[in-house]
Amino acid sequence: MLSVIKPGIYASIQDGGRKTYRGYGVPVSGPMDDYAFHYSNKLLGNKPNTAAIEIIYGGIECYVEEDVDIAITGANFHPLVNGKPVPMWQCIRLYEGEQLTFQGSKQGSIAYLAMSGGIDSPVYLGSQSVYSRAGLGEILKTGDTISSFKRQVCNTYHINPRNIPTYTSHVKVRVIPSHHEALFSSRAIQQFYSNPFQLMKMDRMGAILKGDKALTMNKEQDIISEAVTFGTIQVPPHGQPMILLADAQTTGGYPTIGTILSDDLWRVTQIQPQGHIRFKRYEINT
Amino acid sequence: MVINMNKRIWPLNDRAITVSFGEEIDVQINLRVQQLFSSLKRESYPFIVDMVPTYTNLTIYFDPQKINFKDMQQLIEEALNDMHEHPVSIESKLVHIPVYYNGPELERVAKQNQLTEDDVMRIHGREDYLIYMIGFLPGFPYLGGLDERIATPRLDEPKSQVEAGSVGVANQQTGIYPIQSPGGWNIIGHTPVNIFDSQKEQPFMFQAGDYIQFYPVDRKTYDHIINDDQYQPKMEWYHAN
Repeated sequence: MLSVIKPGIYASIQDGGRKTYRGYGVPVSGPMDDYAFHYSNKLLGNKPNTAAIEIIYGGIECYVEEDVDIAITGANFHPLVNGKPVPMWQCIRLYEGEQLTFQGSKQGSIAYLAMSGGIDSPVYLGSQSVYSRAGLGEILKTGDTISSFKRQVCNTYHINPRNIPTYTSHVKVRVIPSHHEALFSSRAIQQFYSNPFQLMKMDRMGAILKGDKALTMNKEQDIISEAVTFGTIQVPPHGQPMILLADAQTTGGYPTIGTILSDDLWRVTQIQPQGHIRFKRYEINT
Repeated sequence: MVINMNKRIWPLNDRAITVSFGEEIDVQINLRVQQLFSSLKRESYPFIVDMVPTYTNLTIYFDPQKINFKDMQQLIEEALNDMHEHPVSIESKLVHIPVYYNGPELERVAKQNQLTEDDVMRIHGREDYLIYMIGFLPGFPYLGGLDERIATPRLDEPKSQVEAGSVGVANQQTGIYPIQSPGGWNIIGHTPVNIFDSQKEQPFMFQAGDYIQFYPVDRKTYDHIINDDQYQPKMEWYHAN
């Protein structure tokens, strides 16, 4: 069991997500980086999609109330136990009375802290993923306690070092073109797939990008609201794109230029502010 | 028939496919969306994870480990053909929603349209509104077909807090805020009915394809309903082709 001394910037409990309520307007939520999330559980022998703590931009500090085995994956926030560095991407044992501290990171934005057996937290609409805007749980705050279902599990699994990703702030990701593409000027489409975009701001709902020039439309057109998803790139009237992320609304009324391929999403969410993204056109084989 | 002539299919991403039946807000187009939605739902395919019906489209989220894009597309084409031969009946309900018309923008909506506040209430309560889709917030119903006489543009400056249960008007749409949220709609009243409760077995009062009728209640009735945990609004069930 851990108790939160300092919640850091934004830490929340996330499992695989709330996947069957989109038709009712409920965002999926779940991990921003499903690759690192997946490994955090695998390293402890937890079932896939077991709830873990998602830490965005670091800064969280916890007190160990009871011995527990954990695994930390994702961005390197230089985790310390009682001031001494501890390894990531492997199972580690925490002992009662110790203090676990996450700092900042030079590369990457998101880390996962999985606990042995998973985390005991309330289930809303079939998921433990926190989506506080709709009252489906709350982000972590000082004084919260986080209990796990088991205590000791280490020595179950080791990761092949080749599977540990390197996070960079210059990524290129594949985009499946939207059926709204024809609404954009051909110059805008060309700009979109050839120029880099800078990440200005990111939270669990979305990332705001900035390119050299605004992406222009052939003519201003109202879009009838339709389904959007994690990775959909909307272009509001000001012409600077916005990527919807894990807490994406289920429907949207802005023109979209495309949707990022699922396997590439974690590369986007791990970029630090001011990092750059390039887009590569990708056609689904139909 | 128009069903197959007017549809388009495209990938939303590598695990979601969208079928579109048109490009305008129209009851007939939305009916096709509802029919495909119902016919796929009835089959309970294990590879369909979720579906989102909107004004003109149905988006189907599938499990790429269980079915590929091509087969999913094929299956949808077949479902559309079946639909063409055997029209799908749709089950929907009409829910009667009480409203205490005391909203901060009731006066604005009346003035804007040169009506009295009583006129606004009367006109707002006259129609059965189709729920074209649910989106924006958990359980937020998009209701089309608001009488032009009370249509009112959104507020220039969205409010940072609109209470749960607020009944609003924006252009030719009306809707209910299921949870507290920022919002730019003209709030004309409040319903005491809780239309979204994540703790209930049926957390959502409505689904796309249902209808809502509003009727005015006074403060006393509003307070009474809000304090009654067991309160259920009146509902009527329909079957339609």
